Amino acid sequence: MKYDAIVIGAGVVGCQTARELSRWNLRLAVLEAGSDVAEGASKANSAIVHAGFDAKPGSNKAKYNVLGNRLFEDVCRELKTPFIRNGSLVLAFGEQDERHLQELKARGEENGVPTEILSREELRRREPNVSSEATAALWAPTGGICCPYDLTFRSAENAAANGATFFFDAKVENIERVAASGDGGGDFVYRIACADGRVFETRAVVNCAGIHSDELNNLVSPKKYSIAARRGEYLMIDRDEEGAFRSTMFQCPGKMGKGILVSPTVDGTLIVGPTAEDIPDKEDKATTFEGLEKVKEGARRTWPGLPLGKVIAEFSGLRAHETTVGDFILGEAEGAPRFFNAVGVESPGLTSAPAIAVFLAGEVAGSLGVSKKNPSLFSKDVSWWPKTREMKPGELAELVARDPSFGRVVCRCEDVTEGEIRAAIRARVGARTLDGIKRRTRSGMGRCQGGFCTPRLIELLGSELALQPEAFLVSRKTAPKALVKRAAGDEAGDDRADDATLDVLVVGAGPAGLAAACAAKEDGAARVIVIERDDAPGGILQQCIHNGFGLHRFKEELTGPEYAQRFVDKAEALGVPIVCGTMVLAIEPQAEGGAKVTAMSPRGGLKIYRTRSVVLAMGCRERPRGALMTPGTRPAGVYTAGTVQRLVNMDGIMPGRRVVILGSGDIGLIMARRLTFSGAKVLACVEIMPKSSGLMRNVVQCLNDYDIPLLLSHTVTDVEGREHVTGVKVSKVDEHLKPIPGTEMHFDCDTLVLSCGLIPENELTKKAGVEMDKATRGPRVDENMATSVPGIFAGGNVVRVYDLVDWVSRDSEIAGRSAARYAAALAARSFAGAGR
Amino acid sequence: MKMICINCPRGCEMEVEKSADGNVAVSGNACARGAVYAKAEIVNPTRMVTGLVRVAGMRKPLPVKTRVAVPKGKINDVLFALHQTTVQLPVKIGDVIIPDVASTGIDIVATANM
Repeated sequence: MKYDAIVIGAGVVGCQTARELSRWNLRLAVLEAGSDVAEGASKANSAIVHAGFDAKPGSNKAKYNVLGNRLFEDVCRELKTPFIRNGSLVLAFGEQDERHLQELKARGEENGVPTEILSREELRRREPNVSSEATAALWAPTGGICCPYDLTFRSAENAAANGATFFFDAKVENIERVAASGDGGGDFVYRIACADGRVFETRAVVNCAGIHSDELNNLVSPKKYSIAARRGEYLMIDRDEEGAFRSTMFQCPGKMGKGILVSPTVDGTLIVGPTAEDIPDKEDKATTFEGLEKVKEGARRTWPGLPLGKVIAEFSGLRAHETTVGDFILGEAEGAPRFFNAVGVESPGLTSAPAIAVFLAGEVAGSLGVSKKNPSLFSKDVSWWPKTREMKPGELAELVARDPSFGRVVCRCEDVTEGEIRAAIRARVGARTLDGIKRRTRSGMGRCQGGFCTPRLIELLGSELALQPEAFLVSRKTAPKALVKRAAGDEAGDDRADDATLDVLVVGAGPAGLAAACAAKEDGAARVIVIERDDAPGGILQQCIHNGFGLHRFKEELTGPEYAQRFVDKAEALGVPIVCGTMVLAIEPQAEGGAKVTAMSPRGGLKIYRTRSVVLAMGCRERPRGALMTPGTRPAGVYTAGTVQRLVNMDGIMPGRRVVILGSGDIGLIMARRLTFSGAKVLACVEIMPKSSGLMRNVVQCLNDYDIPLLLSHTVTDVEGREHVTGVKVSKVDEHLKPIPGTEMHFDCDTLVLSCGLIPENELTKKAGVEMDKATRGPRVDENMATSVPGIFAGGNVVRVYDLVDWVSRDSEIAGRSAARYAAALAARSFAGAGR
Repeated sequence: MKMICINCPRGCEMEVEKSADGNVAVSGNACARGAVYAKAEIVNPTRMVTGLVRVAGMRKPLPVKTRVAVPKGKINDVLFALHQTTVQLPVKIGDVIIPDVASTGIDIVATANM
């Protein structure tokens, strides 16, 4: 394959450079060792667009930071990717720091970056959550935040729309300069050989290989460079805390970098980090116990109220730090004409990327003597798709009418629909992995971190790419190779409700919702309906195929599906419609009483229900890995117990063969037995507390019966494996739950199952303006299961997490009856009002 | 010996003594089911087995259970029998999927409508 220019590395610098090169008349390709764009530093960094005051004046870092910052806003607008100029603050804690701020200010002036020193009072006025220990701050209004992987992805899409060809899983092994074939005149080309045997020939090379850029340069140039991988660990904080800080909060920089920052992100979450540690292994992206402790400690200096309970993820990234020059090395490599370097592009590399790209593209085009395309022929296409989360109801209704897949919500934490996910897979440089979907659509990036949507995502990847769904469980980031045609799937049935005012609308057709709806109907409510997100009623009981349900309620021991079916049959007998495949998006209480409920389904589009009362019965969700702050890598093979239950019991997919379970919640214990039954070896169940959090009877019949060890006062202190889990380290903990050094044991396993508790699902509840209970994390309810909003009731695990479904049914029946009575009273009142 | 009752979430911690004449004395149980369980656990421990069987032409499996508890020593045979079985749809809750599974005299029945 012959090209005029090949960019090696599809990170933000490579993709931006490819996009700039695609403005010229040349044959262009991009080679990427990973399965996707933005697989290196571009996916794991602070997402900050630096103002440029702290880079050493006269350095490439200073020059390209300032130029890049100026270009950033336009580039993001063209690429339809988010950018917010939220400004940066550098905090001083005492006099020494304040002197440092003066130095930074002077350096900023030299670099042409406007800054201003703020007093303690002014700082507190702007950022009320900042530590009272902060004595002053440097304000840089031109600082900003962006979404680095979306920027990279849209750059790649736009480059592809303008003729660039992308090759993935193309790890470059060798580059040599050879005489151009059929050319006796002494011209030459670079021959690039990839590990999988593919060979490319090109007249010019742009080396944007990040932490491996030194190795590529050293293949062709006598001038050698050396890159150290400098690891930074981060924590992400839930969107619940949106608004805690407006600007990016830095501390005074040190030798190793800009220190621990706290910053809002363009997605409404907050990012906290990074650490800075030079590590010998260029692929080691594991987080560590010590590193995360450092992040917490550092961040608390800025933000004493750092809410650790709101951590949703932890991750680390590697900066490409060049050790001989210590600056960006840009331009033609010594002794290697038409081989251009972008070596050592560490922070502020993201900010500098647009400027570096313009410079390198110009250099390449000049060396090749090619002409620029007519600007009117340059495509603006970035494979944009609608984000349903950001749309107005009217627009959304129109969209769903055109394409019903935009009416099917897949990720309920981030409200991402099937339409968006299919678009992300179908794009020019489309997603081929779970991580690829996550970064393009945010599906799986919210607080449950893929607990609910993973089974659906592998299904969609399978259907779009004609592969077996489990192929996508092997690695989160490497695309599967084997192409196995799968059978076509079937579609769910149609449901509709009519338009008159309802008495009781129940959200959720699990055990709580069904019990509430039946009770409401029995209590005399005429028009009761249940709206269910899933394609079938029964809720989580559908996947709870073990026995132990209904001993109190039915005086016999049933399995989950049997228990659910009794209520489904009852609802049917009572004439309560269950509308499946429909997601409630909003509940708005009305001034005249009752509520307006907006729901969406693939077939029916957007639908508004008027109802006199509402029962919330959405159930709960599992705590994801992020909430547990388990250090280590982030490979495939880590699942919550509920996800494994769904995969095994409903989708017929075995996630692994050698399993360690972290946490001793009931679902984890039940899954220890289920996985054993299905042929897996469960090596241990590890519990940080001195006693099991699950029921004793489950410890006896799920662990003891099968000789599965329960390790109390132990926790997982490291997760190993790059693509897939290969093992975990388990340590004993002391009375403060801190791991005790020297007590580590190692388990070779391919699966880590997390069973660390449940949290009520509360998005809708909060959106409806219902007061929350801090202890249960569900709505505050009275003895009638009434919330703080008149006409809104709640039942089941959405209120608090129950041990036993029998009590879920009992309490939800109270909610159903209360709702029916409220509806009757409201109807009587409006009837009386109409009669006057 | 100490024993934890698995009948309900209460998980009573029971003391169970077997005398020379074969009588079993149980204490610590909150209800009669505890005593029944404790005696059975000494004489012939049994467990309900819930599991999955393949459905012809579908990836989604059918959930099933033993109609009543089977002897603990038979669990592996029961699981093997489930593994060997493929059912045709439709199936209703309570349908017998495997009669007299592993010669226990106990049927495997469906626990979901499919």
